[in-house]
Amino acid sequence: MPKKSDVWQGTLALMVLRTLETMGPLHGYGIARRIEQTSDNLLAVNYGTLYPALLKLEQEGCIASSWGTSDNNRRAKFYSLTRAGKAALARETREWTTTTEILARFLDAGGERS
Amino acid sequence: MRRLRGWLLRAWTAVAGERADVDRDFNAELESHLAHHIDDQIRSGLSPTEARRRALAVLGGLDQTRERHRDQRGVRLVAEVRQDVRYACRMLARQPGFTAAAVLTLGLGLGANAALFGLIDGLMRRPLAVRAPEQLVQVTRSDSDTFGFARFDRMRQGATRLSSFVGVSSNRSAIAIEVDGAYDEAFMRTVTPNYFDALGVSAQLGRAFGVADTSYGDVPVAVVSDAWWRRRFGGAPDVLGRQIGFAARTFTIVGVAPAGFRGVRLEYPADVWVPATQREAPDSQMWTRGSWLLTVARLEPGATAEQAAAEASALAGIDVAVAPASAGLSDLRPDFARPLFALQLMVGLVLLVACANLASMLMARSAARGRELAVRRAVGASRGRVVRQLVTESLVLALAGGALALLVGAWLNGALLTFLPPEQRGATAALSFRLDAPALAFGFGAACLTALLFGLAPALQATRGVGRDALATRQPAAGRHTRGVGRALVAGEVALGLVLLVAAGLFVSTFRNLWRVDTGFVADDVVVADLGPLREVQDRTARLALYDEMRARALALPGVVAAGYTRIGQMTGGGIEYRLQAVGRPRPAEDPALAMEQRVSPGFLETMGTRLRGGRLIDARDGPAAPAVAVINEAFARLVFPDEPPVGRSFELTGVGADGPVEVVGLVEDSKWIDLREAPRPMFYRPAAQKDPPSATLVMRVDGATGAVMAAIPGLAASVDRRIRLGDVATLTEVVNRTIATERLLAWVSAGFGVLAALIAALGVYGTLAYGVALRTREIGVRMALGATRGRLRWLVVRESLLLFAAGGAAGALAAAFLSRFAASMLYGVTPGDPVTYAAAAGLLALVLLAAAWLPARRATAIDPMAVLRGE
Repeated sequence: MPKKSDVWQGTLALMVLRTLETMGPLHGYGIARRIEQTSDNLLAVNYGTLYPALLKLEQEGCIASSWGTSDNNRRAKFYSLTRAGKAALARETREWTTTTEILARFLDAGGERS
Repeated sequence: MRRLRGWLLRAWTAVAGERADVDRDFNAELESHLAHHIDDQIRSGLSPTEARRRALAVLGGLDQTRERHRDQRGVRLVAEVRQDVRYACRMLARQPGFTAAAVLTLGLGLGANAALFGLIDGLMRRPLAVRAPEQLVQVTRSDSDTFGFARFDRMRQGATRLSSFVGVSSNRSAIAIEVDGAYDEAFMRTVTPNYFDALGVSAQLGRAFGVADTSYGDVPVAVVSDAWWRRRFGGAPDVLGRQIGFAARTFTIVGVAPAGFRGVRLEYPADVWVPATQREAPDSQMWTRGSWLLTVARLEPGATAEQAAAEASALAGIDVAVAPASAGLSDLRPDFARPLFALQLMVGLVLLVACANLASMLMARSAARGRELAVRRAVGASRGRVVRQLVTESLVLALAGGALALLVGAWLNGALLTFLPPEQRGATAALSFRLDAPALAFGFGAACLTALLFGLAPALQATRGVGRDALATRQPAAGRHTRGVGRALVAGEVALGLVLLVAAGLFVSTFRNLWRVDTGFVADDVVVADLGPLREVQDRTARLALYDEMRARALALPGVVAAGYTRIGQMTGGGIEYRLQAVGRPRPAEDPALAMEQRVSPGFLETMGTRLRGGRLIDARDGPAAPAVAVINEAFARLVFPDEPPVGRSFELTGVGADGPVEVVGLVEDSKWIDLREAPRPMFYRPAAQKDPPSATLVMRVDGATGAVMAAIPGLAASVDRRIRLGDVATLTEVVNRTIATERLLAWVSAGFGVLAALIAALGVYGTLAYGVALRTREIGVRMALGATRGRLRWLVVRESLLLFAAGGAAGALAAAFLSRFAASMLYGVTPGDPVTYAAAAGLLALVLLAAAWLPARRATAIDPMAVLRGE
């Protein structure tokens, strides 16, 4: 698994942004759980890699953080999407869609020929 | 953008460190995370202990997570940078010789650049301490910097694209101001009353005067500068209300200007400002005649200088130019800007030479460190990491050099300022080296840039292909390639060295040519004393009598063999040109003859040593009642009397100042009057007795020591009449030298830097040859064993230096030919492509390089073949 975490960095950021867009402000644990749930538990988020990714997004200005109180009545740091983050999400969604389409077409074509 | 922002934040953290609570904050976040996770697990039925264990497992280790988080924050970067700097300092301390040489060359190179930067910044950019200096423009006429009041007022009233018109008196000399019965020399500025309002300058003490309280009938007021307040009044607050006197009026000090403000003129920092409306009565000629106002205004937002100039031209009825003046008005700027840029370019090249030299030195050094680098790579350092380490070393060197450069820069700046002509010494304050933000930014930026220039290439070079192979062999991993790049660098140094030597040659020739030019006078042993205008003596006869008495008393001084005076001193700039024609020979109106008039006393031309070509000189018989006569020079004769001997013929002024026919009684050789570069200028000399001078400059030819005569002049002037305001007293040689101050500056400084660059290049050649010999020890040993003669072996080394010289010299000659064209306007008596200069520069460089090759060549022949072969 540790080998895979590198690959996940890019897509993890996209998933975080998308999660914050649909769910609104959320704390780190909540984000991780939500990603797992959305993927029907096919993805296991390595929580250790989540926090550096969140920090990176914050440094890049895509998300902002502030301390608040969670549903469990515990203190937690909540992350929310910024305007720059929304723009970045839209752009990366587009890029990701294009990439997967091309890849799909490529794989389909290859399948026909063989 | 996003990436950049993230990276910058991390880099900032790395440099500045982070707040102490960030770690605590993250621990709290992790705790919160675990708590949520455990809550969930307990809800699904696990025991608290088991829940905590699982939560930690999924987190993947608290410490690892913290470490990764710290990485992302840039904290590791900070640790590594600290480590690199420490390591770099240790490495540099271990080689004190190399480090000292590097820091010294960098300090000299960077310091020279910093000094020039300070001068250029002060002259061209540093904004005045006024409100919104970027809006300021200077308004000038095409032929003069000053306006009469009438035109000034028309522009001020009518202009829509310019506002806040400010007029400033154009006088260039200090005057005597009476304070408590004693006199103090100070720069006094007569300004339009709106001066302080329009510039947006308020007093630090008291108040600035304004339009409201400065009519002639009000109590006359003055504002003094911070510097003068401290110098003359010891900075005491009771200066307000004190009285100072000049021009027969008494002014009351009402305010002290802020410390950073010395007026708008760079060369003449003001000490006292008074409103023009209180200095001169409303019926004074100052308001109706004369042209004395330097004019500054503010460009309205949205307007361009061209629009403003067109509008002002229409209002003034003459061609008016509008130019940016955010850095103030300067007499020096037009003359000095080009030479300073030329010098900046030269010191820039010197810095490049120094960089190339350091790069080649570092390259040789890192080749020798091949094993060390290989070990570091082998134990897991990435290439980027090693490059960063090496560049850090360069950066440490460059910053140390930069620190030294601040000292060198301050010193060199002072040395360069001594080249300023004395009448512009006032600019010293504005142009001197300041450790301000732009200077520091320039120094720091230049140091970092040089570090990259000389450090990056060797670092990339050293880490290239260094891997297991380098560990395996005992030889340093320096291949053919390293030597190739090193040679190219040294050839580059040679090329730049040649460029600088050629520049030095051209500027030195220019200076020497001007020095040797046939001036038409003999400057040696002549003392010049500016007697100034005698404004208080309105009667012409009385004024002339005073000047004549000065001359007579000067002649009586021991050692003085001849004396005379002239209206405007030779080589101090000026004369008045008149239109004229030969009597009885009208010239077409569109092509009038123009000639410059000088009003001189008997003895003036003799004192100057200007040779008589025919007829006689002006003497005592040319009195006020005698026939009007003139002595002309050869250029005048060619222009007005092309076909016949001029002596005995007559000419007359046709335009302004026409006063009937004047007989030519003598012909003298042409002489330089304004500067040494001028072409022969048609001139005529009229007797002072017939056309009296409102001012005078006394000249005396001395047999013996000029110093004694110069010392006696002030006493002499005071004993003749107290109203004589003696100006400059100097030898004629000194006066002539002032007119070529720029050329002298260029010659000295370019020669200095040319030689420095040649020496650095020689050091580079020496280094690369010595290194080559060291690398080829075995080869040379074998050759010797096989019977090669010493001569052949020496030739092996010398040939390489000649190759370097040939390659670098050819490139340098091309670059010099290209660059020197831009210097053409600064040269005199030598063309930018002067073959003699190029040959001399190349010869000098070749000599230096051969000398540099000598030691390595000797070392090559001193190799013991037996020792080498045993080592095989």
